[in-house]
Amino acid sequence: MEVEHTLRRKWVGIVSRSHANRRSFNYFLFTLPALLLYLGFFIYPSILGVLYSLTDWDGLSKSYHFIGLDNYFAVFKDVRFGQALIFTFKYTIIAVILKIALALGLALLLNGNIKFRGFMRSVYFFPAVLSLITVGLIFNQIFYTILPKIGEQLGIEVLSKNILGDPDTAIFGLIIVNVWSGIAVPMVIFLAGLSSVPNDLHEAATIDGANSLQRFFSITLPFLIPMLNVNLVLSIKGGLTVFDSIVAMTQGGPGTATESIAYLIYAHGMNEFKFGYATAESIFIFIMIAFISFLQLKWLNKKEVGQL
Amino acid sequence: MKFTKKILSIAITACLIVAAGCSAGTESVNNEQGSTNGANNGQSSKNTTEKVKLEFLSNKADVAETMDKIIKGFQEQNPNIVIEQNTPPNMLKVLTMRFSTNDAPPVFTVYPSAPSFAQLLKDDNVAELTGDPVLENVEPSFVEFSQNNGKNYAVPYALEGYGVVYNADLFKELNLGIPQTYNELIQVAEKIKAAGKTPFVFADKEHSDLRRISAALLGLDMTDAVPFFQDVINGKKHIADRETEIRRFAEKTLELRKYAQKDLLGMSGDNAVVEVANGKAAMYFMGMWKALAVKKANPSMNVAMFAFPAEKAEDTKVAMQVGTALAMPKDIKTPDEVKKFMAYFATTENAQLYSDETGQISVIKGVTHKVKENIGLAEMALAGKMYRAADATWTPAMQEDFGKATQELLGGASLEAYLKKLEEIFYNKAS
Amino acid sequence: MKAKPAAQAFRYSILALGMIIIMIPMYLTITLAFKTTEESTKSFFSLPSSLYMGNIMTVIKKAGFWTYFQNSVVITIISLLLIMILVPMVSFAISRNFQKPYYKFIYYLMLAGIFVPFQVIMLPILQYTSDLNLMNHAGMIIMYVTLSLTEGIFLCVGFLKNIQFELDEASTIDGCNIWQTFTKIIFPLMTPITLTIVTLNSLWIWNDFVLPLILLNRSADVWTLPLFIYNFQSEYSFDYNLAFAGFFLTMLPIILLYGYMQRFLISGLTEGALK
Repeated sequence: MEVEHTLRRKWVGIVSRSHANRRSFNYFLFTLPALLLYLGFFIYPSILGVLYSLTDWDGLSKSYHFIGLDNYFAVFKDVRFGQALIFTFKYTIIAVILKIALALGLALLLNGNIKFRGFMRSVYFFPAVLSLITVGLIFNQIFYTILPKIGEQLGIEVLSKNILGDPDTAIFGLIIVNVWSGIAVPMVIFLAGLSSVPNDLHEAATIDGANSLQRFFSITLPFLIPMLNVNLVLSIKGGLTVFDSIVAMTQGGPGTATESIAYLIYAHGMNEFKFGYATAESIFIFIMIAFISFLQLKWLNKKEVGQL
Repeated sequence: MKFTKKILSIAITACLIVAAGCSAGTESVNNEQGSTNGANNGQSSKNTTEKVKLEFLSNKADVAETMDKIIKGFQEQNPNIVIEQNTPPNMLKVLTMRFSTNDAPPVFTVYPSAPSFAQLLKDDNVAELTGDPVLENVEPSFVEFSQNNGKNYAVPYALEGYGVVYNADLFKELNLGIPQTYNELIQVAEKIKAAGKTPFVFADKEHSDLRRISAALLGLDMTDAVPFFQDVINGKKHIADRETEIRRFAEKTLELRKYAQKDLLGMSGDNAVVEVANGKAAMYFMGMWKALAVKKANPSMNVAMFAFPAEKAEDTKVAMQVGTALAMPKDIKTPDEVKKFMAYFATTENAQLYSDETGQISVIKGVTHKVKENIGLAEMALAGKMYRAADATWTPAMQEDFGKATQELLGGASLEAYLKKLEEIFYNKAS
Repeated sequence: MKAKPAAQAFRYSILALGMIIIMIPMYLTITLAFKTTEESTKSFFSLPSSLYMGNIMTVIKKAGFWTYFQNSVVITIISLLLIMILVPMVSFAISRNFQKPYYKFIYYLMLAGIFVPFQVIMLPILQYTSDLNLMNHAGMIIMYVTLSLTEGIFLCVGFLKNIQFELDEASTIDGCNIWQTFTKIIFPLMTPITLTIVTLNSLWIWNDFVLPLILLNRSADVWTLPLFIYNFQSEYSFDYNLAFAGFFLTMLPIILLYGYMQRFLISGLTEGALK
């Protein structure tokens, strides 16, 4: 604060006291608190991360050595990392599609004139307020005790045992939990979009003889594109960094079947004393996510502009 | 609706009032930090002038209540010392973290044989206690047992180990004796199966539990497992050099699963306890603490433990390690207070309390093991019929990789793939 | 819109099915919390034969439940208040000066944070906060505010694009300085998006597990509820009912609050996203 004041006085002294300058200086002050926090607690640690990734530090010893890009080469060669990459992508694709599709479907069902609308909305939004850790622990029990019983009754082999215990199905256990708890927010955002669709457009289209499917694609969907953008950005990032539910439910197992990148970084950095290596993994994944998100935003921005 | 709007407008107004003035945003941030920090600092400095506050960092959340009793007794005797027990998740990482930032807790739990402790010693972080009076009340053989490179860095209090938790009522009902050899164990399993019960439950969903018992099994058959793996880690030997024994271990692991619950990798440690407690499963090969967990879940059941039998009856031993031990940092301001606490915990009376409540096998002089659930194991261990599991010197990364590889074996991976994987995990991995 | 009865029936049955799926875990949590171990071993699904309070009492008596609750409340509220002020402020400055390189630069710099997964800074933050003696509530609040900037600015700047610049100009002519323009005109207009941001962040901060897991390990006194429940269940894992009583108790405050404020929460998300 002190610094800021002297800084300000200095600024004010140097810069002419004209109104416009003062204005722009005030604008600058508006950005200062956020910028300082961001530089101090986000950019700086990120740079530290890059530096650590070039060392062989175990996170504990008082000394460490710079080993250049060795960690990165090791990450490239690491089979476990490759598996985690594949798992993370597989998980993200399935979870995002399910979340968006179900959220949109529910929003369409809940939209418009139905009974108990407020009540139903509240129920459907409810999972969003619970912590994934708690939800994961509860579902652990459900997958162990309840689902197998249902599976046995229905005679479905795959369901008659704990789906978290099978390397092929454990991923779906995680997806179920994440969709269960992660559907509410996109649903509500879609609902908001739906309420912005002018009713007279629908009526006009109905008069013109459009069926409900046509109406959906030609009228409703264009209005939903901005919401789709927000939902995609949020859920793709959530998918690529999935962590809490894995800690609560599978610990990356069975074997290494459900190790996501985020979980692997945690395991390497926190449990296995490969601090430098884990930061290299995280930088690697940063580059990847940055690339994907860049494409995504570019593509979506184009759409949005076209729509407006 | 009206109500919520009102709340919102009040909240916003409040913010604006707080934020009055152009640079108020920063001010408020700094004030928050300042005041919170200030309050914390003020509090701790005030306390230190009155009393010595010692943080006790422990990884034993499950025995926290017993420790609290001991701490309470200690504080009554020493009103000037306040011990604060802290059992965070991931305690080992927290501990190493605190050392690396020069903020080590004055007293903490350790596993003297674990590589994580060796790491701390390598950096010369831990106070040496060789010949210190705090060790006086420890059985001499265990003072030696808990040494690192011939020196004592921790006060050992109790052993923990592995064995088979079994439903004694069911054994009685089916007229089964305690198996003395591996073959007898399989026969017992056959009989239980014939009686319509699940012979074994294995918590194979937990890679750490699976690793523990697998390493114990491996160490039982391969008496030099610890040095052998050390050689492999140092690149002097290959897994293939002892292929027959490791194969035999893997085959046993698979054979035992034929008598286990059908959903192998779906069983968590918690659920396994319940399986035994509600009488569905008869035997559970795991750490001794699980016997007490079963007892707590079903107090009316008779639960006991036997040592996992070797091929020959005379080779049967129990896998043990020092499970409860305390250490303190080298550069500590209050060594006398900490030693006072260590010594208090090492009195026969307190060690007895600890043993009675937690079922751990005390190595303090004059303590008799009374917990009947694992008394058999305790007698064997105290008579010296004990060994170290194969994973005693593995790094946490190796332990995790081994557990996960074994999960993959149970999930259907071939024996060849498993052996190859072990070679990858261990060969020449000394850093 | 009129729909055919068959379609309507279909709609309601789908919605009802969905609600059942949502409610099953809740039903289990609540019933198990009020059953004895013996009863739940016998009948896992049934309603409790009587309201057994033993589990709940054990949780309350055992742990500093209220301390953890208070910690969660304090951290969440202070973080949200700061976020509510800082994010609109910086977004306002950026959106009104977007033609200038400095603002463009900080906008993209902060937006770039969207691409940076938390894991990148997780390990350095651990080291860094420890050095700064910030492994406490203050450190948590700083981190929450910092981490909320990226998404908040992304949403806010987008929202502000739709608020006409003429309004600012008019207020300037009326003699307002920027601070006054912001507090009197812009900030109130931003209420919907502020609500959205507060809603999203409150759900995240209240339920967050990772940050407390790595930062709050100095003493159990500073734990938050998610950390407590994680530890509690590993301590009492052998006892379903106790664990579920723990789940139930940690959920209870948020259930009550949700019952009271749900419209507010939902409309908070809705109104901001609308623009």
